[in-house]
This record gives sequence, structure tokens and C-alpha cells, in this order.
Amino acid sequence: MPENNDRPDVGQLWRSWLTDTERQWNAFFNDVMGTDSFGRFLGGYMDIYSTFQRLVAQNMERSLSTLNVPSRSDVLELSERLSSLEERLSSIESSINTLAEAVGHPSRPAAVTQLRPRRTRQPRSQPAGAK
Amino acid sequence: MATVRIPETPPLTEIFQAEVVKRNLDRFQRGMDVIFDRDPPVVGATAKDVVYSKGTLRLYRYRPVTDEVYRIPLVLVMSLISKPYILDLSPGQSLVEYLLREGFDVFMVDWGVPRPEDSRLTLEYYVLEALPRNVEEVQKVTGEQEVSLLGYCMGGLFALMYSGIFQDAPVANMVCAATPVDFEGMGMFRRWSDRRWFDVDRIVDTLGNIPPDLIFRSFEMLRPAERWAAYARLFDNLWTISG
Repeated sequence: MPENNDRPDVGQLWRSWLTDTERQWNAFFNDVMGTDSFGRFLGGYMDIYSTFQRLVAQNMERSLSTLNVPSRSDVLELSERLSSLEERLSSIESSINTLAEAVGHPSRPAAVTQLRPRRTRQPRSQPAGAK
Repeated sequence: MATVRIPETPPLTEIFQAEVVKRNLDRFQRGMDVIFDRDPPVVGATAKDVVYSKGTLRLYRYRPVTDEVYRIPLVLVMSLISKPYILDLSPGQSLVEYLLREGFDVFMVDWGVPRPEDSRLTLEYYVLEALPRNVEEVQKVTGEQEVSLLGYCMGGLFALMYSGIFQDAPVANMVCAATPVDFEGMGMFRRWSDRRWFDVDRIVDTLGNIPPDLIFRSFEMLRPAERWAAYARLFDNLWTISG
């Protein structure tokens, strides 16, 4: 499309309008939501929300227990035990690696141990011999 | 008297020119791709190895792309909130890629997505236990005593706390990006979370991990119009996004 410098770019006008409108709406909402009364309203909402969540969780726990079905807290407990097992395994693996390295048989994945780039690079602005 | 200049609209013949039609067809096609999540972008694609892991935590080492690197390794400490690939978005638009090209030996502490049982983890765990352990692993792998830390968002807070608490922390340099240090400046968040009406302990006790949606909405409320403007801008730019 041939360029015509006399004609304003409609797309550019629209983009400027969008940016200005966004800024104005944000400023308006910030004025409304930056007040103590809005903070109090938000706090009240969160209070009701967390109370509701707690009631639902307690009732669900009771119902599942009555039906003899594992509840969320039971699953979480299992998951915690699994995590602690994972950690124990990881620490045993780490000890074995340390021992293997000490006797000259590194067992880390080759990709990590083989990465031995020279650590001598200097910033470009400094002369090569500078420390 | 000043004359009001009425912007001219392009004649219909120009609107229906082939280029404009093609642009709008491209926009429509890319819009459909976005809506139906076809061809999702590749993120976090830079080659890396896991050096250490514990629970959801992973310490990655990115594979150097130069034969010679700076002596001190660079450790990126990520936030618990944002995704780690924010610093390694896509090939050609990645801070990690740039740092590797510039000759840094780059590591990343990725905390992972917290699991429900992680709700009991405290700041003490992250700062006094996990971060020092990651630094030790970096020291082991590189054979260097010192490290440079680049903390992103909440990761910057961890890095600051770690360096402040451990007087002998082997930190040669530190950079904090998007890290809220002076909370006086966070006016809206401070007002919303005022102790007079916001009982954070009760919310944490009830919900465990704070749901991502709650955090997302809180940040969105700082600039409520931004999302809709972003959609409009996306629509505007869709035709320029390479497929």
C-alpha cells in the first residue's frame, strides 16, 4: 500500500485511544479500590470465603469418614510420607555419589560432570591479563 | 479561528486491497490458533541438566555454549509464584540463552509448583535450608567457591535474605529483578492486606497453599483494564506473529 504522510494512520489513532482509555480506567479503579472501605470489603469477602471453605472441608471430611473412604487429609498424609521417603532416597543417593567420587568412580550423569569449560573468560572491556 | 482537522478515512478500494485482506485472514487464522491452543509456543527449551532435586525443587545447569566461561557461576533464583521459563521464554527471546552466549555458566533454582503438602514449608526452609543447599551443589559441580545470584521477583527476596543472614555466604555479586524490597511502595496491596481487616493466618490455615487464581486476580486488580487492553492489542498484533 502506498504511504501517504498527510493521512493520519487510523490504526495508530486507535492504539493511542486504547492506551489512554486503559490508563483512565486503571486510574479510576485504583481510586475506588485504593480506599479503606474497599479494603474492608475485600477483607470481609475473604473472611466469608475462608469460613465457607472450612465448613465445606469439615463436612466433606465427616461424610467421607462415615462412608469409610479416604479423605483429602488422608491422601495428603500419604503424600507427605512418600515425600519423606523420596528425600531419604535422595540423601542416600547423594552419599553414594560422594563416596563414588572419593574412590574415583563418579556416578553423576555424564552430561553434568563432563561440562568443564575453561573458567578464564574476562569481560571484553578489560585487558586480557587483568585480574 | 483554528480549524479542526478531521482525519480522512481510507477509501473503500484501499480497505479491500489484497494486502489488507491477507492481513485480516492471517489475523483470523492466528486468532483461531490462540483460541484452540494449536501449535503452543515452545518455552524453556534451552538445553539443561538436573544437578540436584528435592521434592518439587530442581537445580538446573544450562549447558554452556562457549568453550571459555566466566569463573564465577551465575545462579538464577526463581520465584515461588511465576513460572521459571519466564527467563528462558523461547529460542531468540531468552535471557538464559543470552547469558550462555555471553559466556556465563548458568544455573537455575526452580522451586516447582508447590504441592498441597508443601503448604507447611516456611520462609526459614527456603532461605536457611534450600537455597544454601543449592549453592553448595553449584560449588560442588563447578569447583568454584563464589557464586553470583540473580533473584527474580520473590527469588530476589530469598537471595537478599540468604546474603543478609549468612555473613559468610559465598556471594560475589547479586542482581535483583522485579523484587519488591521496599513494601512501602506497594500501596494497594498494603491497604488490602491491612491487619485490621485481613487475617492472613486464617486464610493460610484454611486454604493451605494460596490458590494461583487468587494471586492472579490480586495482581490483576492493580491494573483491572490491562487484561482487556491486552486482548485488544493481541488482536491488533496477531497478523505479525510468526506462525
